Amino acid sequence: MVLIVGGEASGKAAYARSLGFADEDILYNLHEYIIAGNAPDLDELYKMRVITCNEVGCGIIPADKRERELRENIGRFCCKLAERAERVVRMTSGIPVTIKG
Amino acid sequence: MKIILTGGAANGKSFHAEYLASKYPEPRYYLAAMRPYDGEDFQRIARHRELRSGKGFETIERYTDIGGVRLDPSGTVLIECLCNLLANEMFDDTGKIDPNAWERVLRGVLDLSNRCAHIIVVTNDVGSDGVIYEEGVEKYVSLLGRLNAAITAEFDEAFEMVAGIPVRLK
Repeated sequence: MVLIVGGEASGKAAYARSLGFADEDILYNLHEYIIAGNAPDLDELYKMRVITCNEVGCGIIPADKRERELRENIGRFCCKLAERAERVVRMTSGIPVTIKG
Repeated sequence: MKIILTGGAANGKSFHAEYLASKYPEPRYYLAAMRPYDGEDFQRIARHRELRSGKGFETIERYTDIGGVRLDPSGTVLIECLCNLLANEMFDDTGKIDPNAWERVLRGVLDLSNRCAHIIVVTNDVGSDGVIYEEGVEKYVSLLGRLNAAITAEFDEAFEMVAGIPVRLK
């Protein structure tokens, strides 16, 4: 699995599409599922070929408890997925930087 | 060795910092800077204690004046984290802000780094969320950025943690 992380609109989806996998093998915007409370189990996620997820941790700790928990959750999902991923890519301004694999 | 780890929340900074520290000789000091206020804080502390258990750390709770800590000069120090140290030095209970706090933290950390064999400092990237905060918080964000840069300039190695992966900056 390739995990692609990065800020909002940093080019993750376009990069994911460029990898040549079928669309059903790509899970876009994992953070949105986590926020909506319907994130797939890790075992399901491990079956995907490509996962994209926003990085959301680089700011002041949110005052709202739920926002704090979501931020932590999104970060921890990414840590777990990165452990298993063959490759981890961090997108910045449309530039993919491979940070693992 | 002097190492600083930065990165956003929940990116594996603590885990990696403890892993790095555990490669250096004992005594290992864990300087805990978070002043707990509520149950969530105690939970966080419990999680960190759990992460650290069995790794040979002596925990020292130190909320301010980090430079005043006395320790064995052959030891290894892990400071967690600069964000808390700065907040503790900068804000008092009345809401008054001390804009010189960052220099105290800087001096304290550098002083400590010269009085131990190895030091690992954890900090946080707080300046990239684009949210406009009240004046005191804005000041804090700006001073933490300055503090991070000043300490990184003096240290041997710096990494940004991303999804649990250390990305070398220096």
